[in-house]
Amino acid sequence: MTIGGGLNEPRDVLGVAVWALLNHPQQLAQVVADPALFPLTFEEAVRWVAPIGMYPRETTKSTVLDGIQLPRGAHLGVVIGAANRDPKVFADPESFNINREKKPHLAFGGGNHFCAGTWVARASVAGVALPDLFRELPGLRLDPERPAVDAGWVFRGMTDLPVTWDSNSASQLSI
Amino acid sequence: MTKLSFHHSDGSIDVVETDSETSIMRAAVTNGVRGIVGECGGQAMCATCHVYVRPEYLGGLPGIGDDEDEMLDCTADPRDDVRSRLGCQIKLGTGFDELEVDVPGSQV
Repeated sequence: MTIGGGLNEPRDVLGVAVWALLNHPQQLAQVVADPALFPLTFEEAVRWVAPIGMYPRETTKSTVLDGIQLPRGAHLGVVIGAANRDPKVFADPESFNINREKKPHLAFGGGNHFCAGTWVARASVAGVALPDLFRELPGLRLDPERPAVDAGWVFRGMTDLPVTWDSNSASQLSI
Repeated sequence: MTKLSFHHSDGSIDVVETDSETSIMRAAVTNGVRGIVGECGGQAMCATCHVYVRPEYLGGLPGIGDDEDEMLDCTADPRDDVRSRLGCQIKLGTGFDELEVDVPGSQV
């Protein structure tokens, strides 16, 4: 879990965050001008596309959840991806917007199984990978010839993210 | 019976009185106190139940453990070296009958 969760989900949020920023030039300009906004970008990216969109749970006793009677031992699919776009919680939930009102989201789950890697992911993706990527690859942009592809509902992220950047910067790549 | 007063930045106060030997975080969440989130359910892993304990009540509290100390470096509003605590790490019914805290402006 530590190895898989340490690689797959940070990779997915990184890809989604890059894709979202490249599709929203005004927000990209904002974070490039003020790298302190990368943590906001990270939180919005995991809200918008939770790297784990659904996880299974089993009830340990019979209960009523939001008016639905659930017997003991019921197998549940907890769809975080939908909860994070709940229009009762988030205004204009389908939009990627780093300037939205800050609210708690469920991308890291909740309760006893709250993601153990939350803070490592925040540090490595928002603190290192995103700022480094946009600093080292100036002019980073989506490839207009080849569309980006996002996929998956349990594990969700970019399966294809073709990009280009200004060629004279390639030799300076140090990451 | 423990009496908890949550002071908000707009001047309003939520008062919770409970017999339960739960935590400050759980008491707040159960009673719908604004500004206390408790995202991780009380594992000292998320720092969204951050409170500033009013100085006159600091004496009756348990010490800050290593996990809490680390998480207090990750609070959304700045840590106060003396007054900042995680609500989930302070159990009720242990050394104080009354507690007043200031709720930070943000937890996420």
